[in-house]
Amino acid sequence: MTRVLHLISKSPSDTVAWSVCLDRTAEGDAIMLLGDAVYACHHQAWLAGLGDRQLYVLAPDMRARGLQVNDLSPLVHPVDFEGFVDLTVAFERIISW
Amino acid sequence: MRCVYLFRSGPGGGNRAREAFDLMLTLAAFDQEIEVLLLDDGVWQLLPDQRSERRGAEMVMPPWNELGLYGIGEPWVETESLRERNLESRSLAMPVREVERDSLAVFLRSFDRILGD
Amino acid sequence: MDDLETSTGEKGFLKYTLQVNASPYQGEAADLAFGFASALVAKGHVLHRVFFYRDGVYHALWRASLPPEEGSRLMRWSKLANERGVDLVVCSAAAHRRGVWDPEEGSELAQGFRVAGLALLVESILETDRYLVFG
Repeated sequence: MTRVLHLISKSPSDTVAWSVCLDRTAEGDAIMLLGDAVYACHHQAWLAGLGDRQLYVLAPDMRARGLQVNDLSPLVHPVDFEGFVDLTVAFERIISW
Repeated sequence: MRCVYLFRSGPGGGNRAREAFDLMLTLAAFDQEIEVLLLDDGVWQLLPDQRSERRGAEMVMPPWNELGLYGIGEPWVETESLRERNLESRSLAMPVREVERDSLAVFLRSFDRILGD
Repeated sequence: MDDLETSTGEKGFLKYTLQVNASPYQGEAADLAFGFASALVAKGHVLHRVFFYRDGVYHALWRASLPPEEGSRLMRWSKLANERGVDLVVCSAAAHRRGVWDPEEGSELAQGFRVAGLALLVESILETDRYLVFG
């Protein structure tokens, strides 16, 4: 089964990416937050809609913004660039939203 | 290979649309099976009667009506993207096929390569 | 990791195409691209090509000089290309349009960059295992 990694780099205030992204993912897909999108890992309402989708966030981008990597919801998995690479190996398709 | 090309932006914004279209046409030249999908503001690309009146520079409109010449079928549009913009497929400049948002993930997975805007 | 049938023939290592659409200072996309590219090659995967499209063509301007604290950003792609043999390609049409390259006169691009058409991007996308777009 082909799995897709969805990359989001726009801030949560960009309503299109946020409100529809979840609806456009399938079971087995994962979402990765980059850049300003990392702020979303503190948006409880959005996290509540994740269901069983995996959510990853780029830790260097969090640290750059003064966000703590160690007080995240268990739904959110911080990764560094090496982990980001590993994700792209595991997922056959990568879409940047 | 089966490829899908996504358009998510409208026709404005300088060369954005033209450069997106150029890449799609280059892909078409490689004799692959290509589908085009318009999402979000991408559906505005197909509004009829777009007129280039930009001062100082021509707003270059991609030749949507020439898709067939490149072996590309009718574009797909996401139903919700139309509805959210108060559009219907019959008000667009060309015939399209619709795909619903909750079928989109499965639709995208069916392709070998996903490209786009 | 499952055994992967890859285009390099080597189990577990994949061949990548990266597309960079953002200029060096347009948000973070370019930094993300470089961070990813560095980690990718460090892990042993093949970075087949980095194709600079749209405003990404500005990365090839060698004349740009940077304030001292930004120094490491200048030439970083060139350095990667030099050390790892990565093919850095700038789209001819996009570069011409933006005054980065002139087909008549040529232009001096940063070391390691070359100019080519979109066909090289498409070819790369079709031939490699993974394709990512930044910006």
